[in-house]
Amino acid sequence: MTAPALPDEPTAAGPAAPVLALDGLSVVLAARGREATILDGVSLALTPGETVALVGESGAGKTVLALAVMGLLPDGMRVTGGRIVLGGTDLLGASASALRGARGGAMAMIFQDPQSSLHPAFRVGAQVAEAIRTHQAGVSKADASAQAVELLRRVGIPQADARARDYPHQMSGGMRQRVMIAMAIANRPRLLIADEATTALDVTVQAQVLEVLKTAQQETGAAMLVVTHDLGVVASVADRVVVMYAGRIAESGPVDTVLTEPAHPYTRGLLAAVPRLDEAAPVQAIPGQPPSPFARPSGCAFRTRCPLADERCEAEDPVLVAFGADAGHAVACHHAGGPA
Amino acid sequence: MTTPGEPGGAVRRSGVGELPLTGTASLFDSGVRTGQDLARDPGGAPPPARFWRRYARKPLAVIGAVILLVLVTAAVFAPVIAPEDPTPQLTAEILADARQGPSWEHPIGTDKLGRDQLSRVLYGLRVSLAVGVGVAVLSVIAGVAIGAWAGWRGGWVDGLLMRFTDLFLVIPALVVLLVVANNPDPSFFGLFDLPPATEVPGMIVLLAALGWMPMARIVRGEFLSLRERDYVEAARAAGASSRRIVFTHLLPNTVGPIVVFATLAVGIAILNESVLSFLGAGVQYPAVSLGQMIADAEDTVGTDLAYLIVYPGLVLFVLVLAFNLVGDGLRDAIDPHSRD
Amino acid sequence: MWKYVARRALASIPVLLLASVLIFLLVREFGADPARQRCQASRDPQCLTRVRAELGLDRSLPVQYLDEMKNFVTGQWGESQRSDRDVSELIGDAMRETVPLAFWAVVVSLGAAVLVGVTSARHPGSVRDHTFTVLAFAGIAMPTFWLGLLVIQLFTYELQQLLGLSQPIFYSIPNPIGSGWVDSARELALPVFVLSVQLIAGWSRYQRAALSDELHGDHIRTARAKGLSERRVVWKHGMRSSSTSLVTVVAIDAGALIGGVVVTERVFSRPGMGTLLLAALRDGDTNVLIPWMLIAGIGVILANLAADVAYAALDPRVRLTSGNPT
Repeated sequence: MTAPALPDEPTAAGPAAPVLALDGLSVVLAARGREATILDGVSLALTPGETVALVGESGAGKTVLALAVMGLLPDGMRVTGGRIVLGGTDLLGASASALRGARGGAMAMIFQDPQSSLHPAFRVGAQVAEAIRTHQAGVSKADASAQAVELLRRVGIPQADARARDYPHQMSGGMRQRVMIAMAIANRPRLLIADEATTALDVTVQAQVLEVLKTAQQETGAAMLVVTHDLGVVASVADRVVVMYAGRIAESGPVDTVLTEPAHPYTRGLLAAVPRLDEAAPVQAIPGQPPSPFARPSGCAFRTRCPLADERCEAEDPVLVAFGADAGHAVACHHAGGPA
Repeated sequence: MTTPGEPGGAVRRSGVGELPLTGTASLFDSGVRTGQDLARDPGGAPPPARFWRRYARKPLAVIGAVILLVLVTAAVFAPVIAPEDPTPQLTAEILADARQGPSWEHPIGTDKLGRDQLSRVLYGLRVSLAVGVGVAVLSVIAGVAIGAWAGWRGGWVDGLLMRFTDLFLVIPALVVLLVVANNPDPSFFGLFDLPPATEVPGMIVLLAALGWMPMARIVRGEFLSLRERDYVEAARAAGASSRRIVFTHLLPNTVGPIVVFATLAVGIAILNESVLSFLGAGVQYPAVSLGQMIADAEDTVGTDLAYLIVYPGLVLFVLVLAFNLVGDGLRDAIDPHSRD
Repeated sequence: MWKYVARRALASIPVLLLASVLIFLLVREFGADPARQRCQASRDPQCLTRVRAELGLDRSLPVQYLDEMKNFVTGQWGESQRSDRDVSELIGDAMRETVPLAFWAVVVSLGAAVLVGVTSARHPGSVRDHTFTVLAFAGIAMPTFWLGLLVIQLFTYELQQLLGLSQPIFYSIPNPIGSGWVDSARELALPVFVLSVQLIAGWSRYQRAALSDELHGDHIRTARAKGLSERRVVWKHGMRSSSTSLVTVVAIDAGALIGGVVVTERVFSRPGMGTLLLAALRDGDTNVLIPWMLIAGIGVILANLAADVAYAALDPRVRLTSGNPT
């Protein structure tokens, strides 16, 4: 079971060669004659085996970023600038068939709602087998089915050979999400994207599915991009965190640094909004709403909700710059690290 | 969407249906929508200004409205506009005028008995409109009554009434209409006489008897979803009577779908009346009907006199088309989510 | 699956019984009185009584009903009161004419409606989509009988005039292999076209709406994320889940199809079930009328049963969870 070779297989270049590199990615939504910037010059790189968490409120552009990488942007959205490079191949310049070859092959995505994401009328085993046969030429139907059962077993589905003949509606949410994971790792992708993969599940099942996801990643050695708004998920799986606000990166850095010493007022706000058992401090929600992409404020997009905002924030767009002592920590804020 | 696994079996699978004689069940439901979806907005129809703006955005809907206006005006003022009596005493003088081509005197010629074709088309249009509107009104009354009863009471009343409705839905309507229209003195089980279908009132009753079902299904669906709404619960808790809740809360919120149904029902009734008339089972002399005119001129097919069937048919076609365009436009203006 | 089919088939039996009662009441109570139809021209004051007794109409309704049903079930359909031919023979001959017409109309309509609907759903807002929308509106509003007459006029007169042919254009199509297939295709082509227009118009809109709903669904996004070709995404994943809607609407239109057959046969002067019905109605031939209606009723019920089975075959949720009627 080998993934189809990409033209530019990273060889001895070492861990530095990124699996996925986004460079100034911009996405625009056109609706009713108006245009809105959904992603604005986002740059990001994932190295093999690394797990990066993408966090932020709804509408920050996390899912759009994931869909842009997969080439699955919904109608009305399009990439207007930047590059998406997967293992050396520029996906934006790739032909439709090359992109299809990468989808489900070198990169795979797990979606939020396992209830609706699986086809209701096909058996789960067949859906996994279809992913195998799509990308691995010459695998017979029987072999693909056998491999599918093996994959289902590996993601922890008991009696996988019997359950493979189930339809999605006969399974629980956690089991369905395991099927989605089996489908995603079927072709040993080098990039695994999990978009709120545990959000729709029961809390008790979330941890199990996260564990399956982590194991799957370790077995395949893939880089993983985890889109979530749940900082608990971030803490348990991520190596690095990228905090997004209104289509831009507000802060990024190693998970320990960002979660313990957040430098952006928005990151601090997110952390303060998490209920904790060990602290008496009351939960504080960030006041206000994220701006509509159709009515983005001038200067820093967060200034309308920021306790530190001043005239400079209104006049001048902050750029993402290195911050503090920890390598890789970067913040886009005029008052980075300022009084909390 | 359709509701799989509904117990009704044979005829209960979907929210679709209406009664075309020769056509298709999909007109009322060219989307896979049910009544519930038509009034997804809890507030019912949008305010008038926004409604008309939305309506005006669809060119086909505007064209339909303009055509309809012209045709209705022509029908209302037919006695003024029509150059001649559509059903004159057949004197030798008139008979001598038979089968004249278009001229100043007879803009679209004369029929095989020398009667002015334009006058006959105008009076036929009146009959078509009268039948169409009459059937729509009666169907709405019957459909709303049955649908509201079923939807409000629920339980076995609902089950029984809907089974009854479904039975009517799958009946080959044209066959039933032909059988009944063939009876010169129909009665209701000998209890009371029914108006014969050879006259306009009888035709209206007959067509409405087989045209109310989609209305019942739509209203029932609306009621089933509306009665669970908070404000209805609140009214019930406050001790409002069923009648009061139905008439002040539920029915006003169902106006949109009712209007759409009524508009489309007019077109269908007009088509159905014309088919019956064409088959010789419709309204008879002295009433003029477009279907009857076409049947009268059928022997001209294959000759150069076939234009005698062209104009009545064209008016019929354009009239039905206009009603359908307006109905479709109204549906989209009431609920912009209903399509695309 | 077979259990499901069996359960559905059993559930059709009471529906069939109810339908037979309604058909009987319709013909006897709401239809024209055959005795009066016969006696219209007669001056004999005893005519009505005599014909009623002859036809057995003087018995009570339940007795008449049971008698009719017994005859129908045992195959003793009697003779046509007009032509003295066996009714079973008449209906058999008519079915041989009508079944091909209806069958090809459904096949052509389904094929065209799926193609049109899929094209529209895949390219919403395109020129093709708008064109199909306008055509669908026209098709739905088109009086079938008028379209039929126009088509006949076109092929028997206008084209002949235009091209200066000596005979109607239809018989100018060569039949070099002399095959009966070509002849029957030539004969069926126009009626099938006329009968299909409204069906295609309605069904294609339905297919478009159902598929475009599906194509925005999460499971379609999953199919794309797997790297499937667009063709496979649409025709395998999209069609599979949207086809249940089409199956439903096709079944509901079975009754409308019967109406369409009556009109089409009448316009094209073709023998068949429609022509037989119109003759029986005209002549007050209840011996033909009641079996005719029962056959039509069975046809509609079978169409719905077939749709149920197809629905269950297409959607596992139906056949696996419908054991518990609510």
